[in-house]
Amino acid sequence: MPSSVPPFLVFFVGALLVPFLRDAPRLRAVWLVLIPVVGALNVWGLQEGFELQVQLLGYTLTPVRADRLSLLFGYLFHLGAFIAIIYSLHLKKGDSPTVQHTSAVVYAGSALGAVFAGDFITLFLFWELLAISSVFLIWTRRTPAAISAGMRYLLVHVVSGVTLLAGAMVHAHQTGSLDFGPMGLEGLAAWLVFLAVGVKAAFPLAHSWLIDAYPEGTPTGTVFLSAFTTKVAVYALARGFAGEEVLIYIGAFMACFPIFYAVIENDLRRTLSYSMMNQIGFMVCGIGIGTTLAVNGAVAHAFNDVLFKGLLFMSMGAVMYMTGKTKASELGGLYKTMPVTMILCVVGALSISAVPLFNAFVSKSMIMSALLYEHHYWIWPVMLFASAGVVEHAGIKIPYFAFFAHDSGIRTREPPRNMLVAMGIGAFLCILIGVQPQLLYNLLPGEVDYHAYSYTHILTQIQLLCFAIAAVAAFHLWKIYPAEIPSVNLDVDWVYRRAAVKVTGFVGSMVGAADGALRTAFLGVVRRTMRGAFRASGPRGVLARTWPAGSMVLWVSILLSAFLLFQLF
Amino acid sequence: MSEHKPNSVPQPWWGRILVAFFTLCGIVLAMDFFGRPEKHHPLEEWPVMYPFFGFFGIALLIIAAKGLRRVVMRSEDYYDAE
Repeated sequence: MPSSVPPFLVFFVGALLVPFLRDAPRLRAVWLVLIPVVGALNVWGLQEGFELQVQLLGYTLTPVRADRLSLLFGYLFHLGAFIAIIYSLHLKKGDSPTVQHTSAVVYAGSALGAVFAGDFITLFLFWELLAISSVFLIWTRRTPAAISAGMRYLLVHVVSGVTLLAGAMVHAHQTGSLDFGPMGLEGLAAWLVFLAVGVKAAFPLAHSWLIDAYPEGTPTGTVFLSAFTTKVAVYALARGFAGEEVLIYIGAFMACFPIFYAVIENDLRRTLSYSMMNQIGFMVCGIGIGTTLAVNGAVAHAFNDVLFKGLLFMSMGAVMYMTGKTKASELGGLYKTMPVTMILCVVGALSISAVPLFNAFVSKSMIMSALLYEHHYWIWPVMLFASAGVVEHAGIKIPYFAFFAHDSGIRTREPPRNMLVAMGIGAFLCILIGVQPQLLYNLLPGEVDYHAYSYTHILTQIQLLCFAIAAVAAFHLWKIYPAEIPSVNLDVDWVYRRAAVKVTGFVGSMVGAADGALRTAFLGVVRRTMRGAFRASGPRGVLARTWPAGSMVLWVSILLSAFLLFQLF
Repeated sequence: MSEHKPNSVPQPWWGRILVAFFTLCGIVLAMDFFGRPEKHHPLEEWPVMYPFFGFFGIALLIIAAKGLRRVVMRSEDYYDAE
């Protein structure tokens, strides 16, 4: 049945009722699961080409624009929300379930609002709402580190939103339109919008909010976080900047740079955050190539990333929920007590590594093929290196250090059933799309004429993966693999967390010293002036002295004589 | 790191897994000599290019990451004095 209800509205209305179901956990669970189900049915009913428009101050706003690109992300966000909501159903009183569920539903609704927005004002509103609603998924962990990371996350995203608004205003001034569509990188407006989107997409140098904040979220909150914010940015890039060559280089750097950090990172959820940046690099690169195959590959990879990265974050969230730990140096040997979680994590690891029959294989190979078809011969080896790097940090490191490696002595049990069900759905979809890629290809914005399962693709990918794993195994056997050490690694956030603080302190002390010196000098001048005035006008001063009338007459006659002489000669 | 502590998986199993895995590596390496129908990049003309790239790419990655650690690694409470 055709629908014309804005997709975000279903989630916002759904979120309104969540606080009132605080004391009815079963009813709340049913309600929460119903929200993405009803939302998905609504999106299913949206006709391709449907637009909802309103007039505001002489401008035409389009709060809902349904085309193949927005509909694909619409389906994806409903799927992501559905899985993440199931994963979070066990939340109890100590976990702030009302805050987490309400903010998560508003957050998912905001992501839907952003991808269906046809104009900049609607996009800006949902852009900011994404940040404001999602920060509670970090803050509800209630640790000092989470509170300050959440604050930094919020600041970065509000700045991104303000930059977007500035770009929108310049665009409206130049073109007279607020429509958000293909922009190209020409002019101030386009660059401002590009910058705003780049911050949300975690472009290199603007990426540290992701690495800083996501590992500090609650076990369930980070699953929501991993699904929406960066994917909205990928959507915005695909919508506004497809085919911009600079994105190829940004994407290539983005795919490579974080894998070095991922190798040495001790916190496994932070390793996954670096991995997320690496995967977004593939998407950004695909969008930069700009051909139908490449853009299809980029958005297909975004779709798959929500599934496999969500699955990995869910498995690490389950480990964190059951053991209270996420650091490689504190974990190990959990396969004995969490075998089902281990298997589901391995499915996620195989998927992200792009093993044939798992979902990343069918999307990442589209981007790699597009690089070859478009003769990007220098970028292709770089991305191949990044592909191999994924195997090391996400394919091996995550499951190995959590579930195998040395025995940490932790004896726990499987996580709550809802967590296992959510992970099971994610794992099933990773395999289903890997085996039946046509299911995903049929939803992509452009026509797909691509066969991932050619003999060469399968053979070369298995060769690459096997020998990448062989290198890791050899480094382990030779005992030169980097040890897991409790530590932090300095990243770009060092600039504002440490250097800026020191520089501000130094500048403050310098300004304070200069201010003190100026005040002392000024007071000295005032004091000397006062002393001079006192000397002149004080009780013994020249000006205050009592002079006899005779001397006054004498001086007056001298002055008059001088005046007379001056007049005569 | 695992080399300093006993592994949670019994040693015989690791041995079997590694033998099976390196056998698989040998098979996929050998398959390269039977030809690859699709070649788009000059590098793909090289024999065993993908295995070479996979192994030495990761070796380079790990060695470079160890070097990076010397520069960027700090104690866990580094930012606690914020």
